Amino acid sequence: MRSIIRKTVLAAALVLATTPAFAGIAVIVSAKSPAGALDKATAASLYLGKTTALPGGGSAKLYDLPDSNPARERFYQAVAGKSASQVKAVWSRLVFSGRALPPRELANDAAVVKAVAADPTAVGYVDESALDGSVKAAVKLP
Amino acid sequence: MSRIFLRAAVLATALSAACAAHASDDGFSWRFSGFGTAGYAATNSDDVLFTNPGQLKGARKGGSALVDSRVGGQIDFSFTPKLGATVQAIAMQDARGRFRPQLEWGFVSYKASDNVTVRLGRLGWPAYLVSDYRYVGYANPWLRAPLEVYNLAALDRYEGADLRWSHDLADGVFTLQLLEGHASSPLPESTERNARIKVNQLSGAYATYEIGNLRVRGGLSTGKATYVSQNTDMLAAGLGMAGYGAVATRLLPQNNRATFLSLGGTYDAHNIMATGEYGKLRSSGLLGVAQGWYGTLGWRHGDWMPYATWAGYSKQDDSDLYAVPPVGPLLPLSMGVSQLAAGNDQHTASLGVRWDAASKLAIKAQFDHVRPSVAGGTFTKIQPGYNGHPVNVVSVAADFVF
Repeated sequence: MRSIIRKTVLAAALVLATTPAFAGIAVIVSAKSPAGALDKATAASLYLGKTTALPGGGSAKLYDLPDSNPARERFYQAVAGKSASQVKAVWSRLVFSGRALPPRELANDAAVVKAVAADPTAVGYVDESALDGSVKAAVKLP
Repeated sequence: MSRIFLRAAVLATALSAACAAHASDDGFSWRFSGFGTAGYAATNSDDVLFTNPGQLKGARKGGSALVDSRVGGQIDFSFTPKLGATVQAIAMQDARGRFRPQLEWGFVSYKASDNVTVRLGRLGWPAYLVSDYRYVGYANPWLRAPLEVYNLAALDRYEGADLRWSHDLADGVFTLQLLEGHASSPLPESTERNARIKVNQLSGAYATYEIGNLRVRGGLSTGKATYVSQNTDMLAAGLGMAGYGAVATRLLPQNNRATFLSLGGTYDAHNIMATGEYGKLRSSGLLGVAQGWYGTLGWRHGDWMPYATWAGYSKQDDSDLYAVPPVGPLLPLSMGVSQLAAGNDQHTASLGVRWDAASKLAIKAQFDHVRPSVAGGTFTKIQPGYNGHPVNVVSVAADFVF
């Protein structure tokens, strides 16, 4: 009996450890970026269109994941406490005021990592499992 | 002059788009954004007509899709990091009752510094809290902006320039917007092609403060309004012949000073969305003195947001300023004058729901219980004998962006 419980716990732990859906989300900048001081509040301001200014100077170029990617909903909930559709309404207000353009949508984590690595002013967010040496995780979200 | 400039600007931007659509990321680029609403509204009364501000046709018991339906597109051009241009066209029912596209905005913008942006061309008149995106249903909580406020000064755009200066203040951002220009807005009229209200020497100042999830906004516009309409000209001629020319002069705006004051705010956080606005028009003649307000409270529950709105509108009764005795042959003139100068008011209680059904689609339903005065409140085409009974309006809409 005890060994069955042990086996079950072990199996559950293994499942948890190997399921990427339980990894956090990282807000990333290029490894060459001076914007290492980017914090959660600034990331929220950037992704809600309240500012375009990077902490290290210059205008941020933002990247987004598609709606079909569950990381998108988790990111906006974690960074701003808003749903992805609420954020979309926020951006439609900015876009149709002729005031700002929304983050550019890329196909997947790998595309975001690649785009951010290449541009010191770029900011993106990806699942932590997609991180590599070309980018810095400026903020880690649960 | 400004119209020619505007056309040239639009042409130039369109041409450069055609020539350089493949240019690199850092130089020229452009982006298209679209929006639209498919809506249907019906009321329970044939005594009055339900419209959005400035529309000729609307809904009675037989419903109408012409009140809320519209489709719009916008192209944002970026020439250099500092210089850009925006063109927006919207097709919706106009003051002649036709559904056709119009150039809503066409302007060039120049970012003089990180804090200062100057724009020149055809611009949206920013008097209201949601002026900039009033026709983008998807961007708004309600099915339509409350008429009690948005009908006070039905002017969408002007030709001129504005300057926007923003500055970090405490933990928020303060923005000051100054504008200067002139405007011309068609009056809803089936027979007259040229009926319109013109505003010259329009200037305004608006302040916005945004902190966290709170946004407050207020300001003032002032200009000289002129009424251009054969119907009112005929009334004026009649009054002149009857020896009441002075009444006509005072009643019909000819470069009369008009001032519009507005103040509003929105709080949107966690599960609560609260927004409210107040507007006051102060002028002379038939434009008169009028004010309106509303408050909306919404509760977010996943993709659903039920909301309730309470709104009021009142226009000061000026009929004793324009005394024309209602006797004998003067009766029609007297009636015409008192109709234009009469007081009016309205209260509305609304319940609605917004459902974010898909990624770029929101479905809305709204029920309005409207209590106008005998003058009909914000309704139009008031039938003789209407006694001010309440009118219910039922509306559904699908708002989308693309």
